[in-house]
Amino acid sequence: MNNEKTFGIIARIMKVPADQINETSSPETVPQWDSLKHIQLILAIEEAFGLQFADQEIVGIKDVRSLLSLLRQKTGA
Amino acid sequence: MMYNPYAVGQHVYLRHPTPQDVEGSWHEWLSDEETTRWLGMRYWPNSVEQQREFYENSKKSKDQLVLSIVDKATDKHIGVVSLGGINWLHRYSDIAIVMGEKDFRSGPYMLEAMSLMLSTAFLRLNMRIVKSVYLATNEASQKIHDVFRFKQVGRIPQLYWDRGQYSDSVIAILNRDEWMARNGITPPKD
Repeated sequence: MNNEKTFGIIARIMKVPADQINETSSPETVPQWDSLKHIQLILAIEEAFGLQFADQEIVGIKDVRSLLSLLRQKTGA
Repeated sequence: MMYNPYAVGQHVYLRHPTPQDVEGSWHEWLSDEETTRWLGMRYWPNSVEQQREFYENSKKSKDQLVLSIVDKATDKHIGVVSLGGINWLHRYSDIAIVMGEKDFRSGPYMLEAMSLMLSTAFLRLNMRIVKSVYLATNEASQKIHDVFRFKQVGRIPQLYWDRGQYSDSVIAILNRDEWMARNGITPPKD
């Protein structure tokens, strides 16, 4: 559930088709994933899931895998 | 290997600037148009002599804390983060950050350096409020402040001249108690 929702948000922020985003996506595999979009993504995820990340959690978000792992911890889903 | 680390993160560490930093690329960052576009000193070129003078002054100052941002993997000096205008009575200061090395502008480096400096301000230096001022047209700066939950508290219309037009200046603050709550740290009892 979280995965599909997260992929959709990432695709919207990066302006790429949703089917191009998966668990292995990262700034290395998505050329549009620059530093500004990275921060926009963090803010969009916080808003969509109704949560706030701590500073260390923000720094730990590097790619889709680390984001999904963090969301599992925060939402328990 | 880290030299003289002051605050250590996963990807970067902060340390006191060294004479080698001064003689390196630091002064060139502050002449580069792209790097300085959003900085207060963006109108005049910088020189190594000016950088030496800044370094000597900052070494003695207790009203500002200037720290070099260093990439842990390579021990390369990649930027500078500072707390300026430290007011020890009212316990506030102004944060500023420059990622001079362009290869390090993407990735976690700036966010981690900012996080380390906020932690330094609130937990080590007992700051109560960290302030920041940035141009309203600087979308990246606004997003960085948003992600760390700075609150916009003021706006000065048409203050800065930037590439052919005037831009508003935004004043934002981060309160220690709110920062602590968000980071799961119990606030002290004053």
